[in-house]
Amino acid sequence: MRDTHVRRILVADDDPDILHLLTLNLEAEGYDVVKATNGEEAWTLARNAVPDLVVLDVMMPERDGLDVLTSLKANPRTQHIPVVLLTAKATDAEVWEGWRAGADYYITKPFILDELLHFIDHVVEVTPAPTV
Amino acid sequence: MRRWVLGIAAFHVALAAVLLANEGSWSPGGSLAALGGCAAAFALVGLVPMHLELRRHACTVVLTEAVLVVALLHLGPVGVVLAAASGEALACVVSRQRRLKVVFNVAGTCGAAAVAAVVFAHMDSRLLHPWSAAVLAGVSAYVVTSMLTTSAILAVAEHRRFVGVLLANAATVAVASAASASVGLSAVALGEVSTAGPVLLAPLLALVFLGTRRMALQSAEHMRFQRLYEASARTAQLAGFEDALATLAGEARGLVTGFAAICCGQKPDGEWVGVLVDDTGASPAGPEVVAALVALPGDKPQAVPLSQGSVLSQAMPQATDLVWAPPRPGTKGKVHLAVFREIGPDEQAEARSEVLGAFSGHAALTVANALLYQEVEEALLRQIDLTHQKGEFLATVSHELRTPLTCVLGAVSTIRRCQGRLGPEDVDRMLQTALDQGDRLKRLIEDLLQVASAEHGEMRPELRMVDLDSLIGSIVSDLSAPGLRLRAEVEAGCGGLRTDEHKLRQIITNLVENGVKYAPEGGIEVRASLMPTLNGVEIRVVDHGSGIPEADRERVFERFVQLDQSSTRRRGGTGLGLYLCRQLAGLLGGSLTLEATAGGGSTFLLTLPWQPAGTPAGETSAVIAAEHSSVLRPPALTGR
Repeated sequence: MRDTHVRRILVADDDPDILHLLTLNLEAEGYDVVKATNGEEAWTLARNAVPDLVVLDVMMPERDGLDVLTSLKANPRTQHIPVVLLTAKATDAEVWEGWRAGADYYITKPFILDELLHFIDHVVEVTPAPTV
Repeated sequence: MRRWVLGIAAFHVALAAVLLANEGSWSPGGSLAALGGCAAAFALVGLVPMHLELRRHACTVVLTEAVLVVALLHLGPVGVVLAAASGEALACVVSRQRRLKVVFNVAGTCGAAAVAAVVFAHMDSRLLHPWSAAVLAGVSAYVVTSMLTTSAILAVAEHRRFVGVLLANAATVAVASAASASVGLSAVALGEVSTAGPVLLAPLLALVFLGTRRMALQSAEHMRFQRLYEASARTAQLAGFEDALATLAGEARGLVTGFAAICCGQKPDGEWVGVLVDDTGASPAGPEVVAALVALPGDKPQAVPLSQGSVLSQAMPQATDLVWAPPRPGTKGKVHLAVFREIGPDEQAEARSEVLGAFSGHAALTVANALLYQEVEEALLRQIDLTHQKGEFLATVSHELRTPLTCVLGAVSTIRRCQGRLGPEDVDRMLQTALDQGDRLKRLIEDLLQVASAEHGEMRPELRMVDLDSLIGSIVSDLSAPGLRLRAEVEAGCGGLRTDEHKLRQIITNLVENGVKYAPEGGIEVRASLMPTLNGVEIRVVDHGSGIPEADRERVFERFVQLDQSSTRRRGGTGLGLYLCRQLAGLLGGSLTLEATAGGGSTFLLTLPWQPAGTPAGETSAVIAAEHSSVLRPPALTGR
């Protein structure tokens, strides 16, 4: 059963086209979308807005996604937030590096939109809504 | 050598004459005469160029005797020791000895004087003439202590063990002790018989010195060659260039018993590098010292006295002498070896220079090995770097291909997925995204294919007459955008070239776009002018941005290199643009380089010949020649 609380998703990607199409799809699914165009911004927004899920690109200016992921998982305020790495880094070694940094899911670009959205729906449903 | 034996003999003759004149008894006048004879002997010895160490020995023996004979009668035992100590100290100061040696020498002389004084004080004058006994004891003690102190000095100077040096000299010490004992006994016997004893003593004393000296020299030569062999063996394995220089200098310093040594080696680029080794360890030698050594005249190893005020004597104020070995002709590694010494030139200088010269041959081999090793290492590192760059390139290409594909697929799936839920603006934007990113993907693939074909030599220029003026004009008008200052300037006379228009357009467009991307502020200029040699044209693409450091100016043309490769930096390209431009410039028979713009920024300089070399000279080239005949013979030059 889905509660009435509007789930918030932080999307961080430095490519404006990708950021836009992700936002469009997530908003169409009824999510509240917070956008970040670099790693530093993503880290600040994650701490302030405390989203229900984070979609992170890896290669970003200021701070790369793996670095932000490590910080998120080390901070007691944000460590419960599921993180999806969405990246063009697709070799076995790079994927393994992403999992080791604490990713909850790893999707390589180009990705299948349905797969990403299905995963987000699934994760957000099983995660209890924060007590307000 | 012979002179100082003569000097000692002269002193003894003077001494005997004084004794004879006074009929065996001493008076103040006699003492003065003895000291006068001593001074004369000093003067004679001082005039002769000889090894300072030997001169010191000769002087000290004469001094010891004179001081003993005179002082024992006038001053008593304590006065003798004090006089000997001050005499020795004075001699040390005059010959600018190092502190350690002063201590050894003064201690040695004091010991000898003390032994003589004690013997004199306790001698029963009825059994033995007191001064005969004193001379006997003094000379014996002096010879033995001088052997001990010389061994100690060698041990310190050459970083060897004292006992080892002493054992190596043991035979010499034994012979010296036996000889001095027999001389002493003869002196005593002769002294008892006649006051002419000292006269007969002189040749014996000279023999003792000659014998011990020859033995010491032979043993030293033997040791030197043994050490030469050992030193060469030790350096054979050296691989690092600077390490090799330092080690070679250290070994050379030991070989000729100097107090500092410099080894200078020439790098393949012609630069001389020197390492100085002294008591404080190894340090880089100043360039002016290295230059002074390299400039020393002569092509054979030799000993060079240092003239006051020269660069080398200023660098080593204590040194009086320099043993120097230039590079051997025909050796692959160029090496200069120089050893600074505080002892002046002597008759052994040539032998020592030869040893240093022989060692220099090994040193050259070592340096050549080190340079070769360095070369191989650098080549290997370049190879590793290239492999690494290729890996990075693959990762970049993968990323660059995936990103636009993601946008195309994402945009199309979004339209399909959200059918009916998207506004017309959103649909429009999604379609535009798909188109733009599809185009980006296409350009990237084209670039990659072009690089591949250029690398495999499959690219052929399509030559025809190109009007540079209109080509540059059209490029500038294509690329002009609001807010961007873009200027073109084409010098008269460089209008027509026979080249590949499409490729030339690609090069210039790429360079201008590059400027727009990295340094839009201050505008971009495209200037075409005649080459100073009139063999073609030079096209400059000038920006006024922050410029590129000199060290990176060649690197920007390397394949797959972007100056900032970190993953947090958004990349605009594939790292192929400038590489491709240079390839294309080469294909057109020209070149592409990067230089600094005066006042800041970068200038790409593209040179192009009137037509690529090796292409068949057809009718068109005749036309070019006719067109440019006025350029090739400008009116201003015909008047000269």
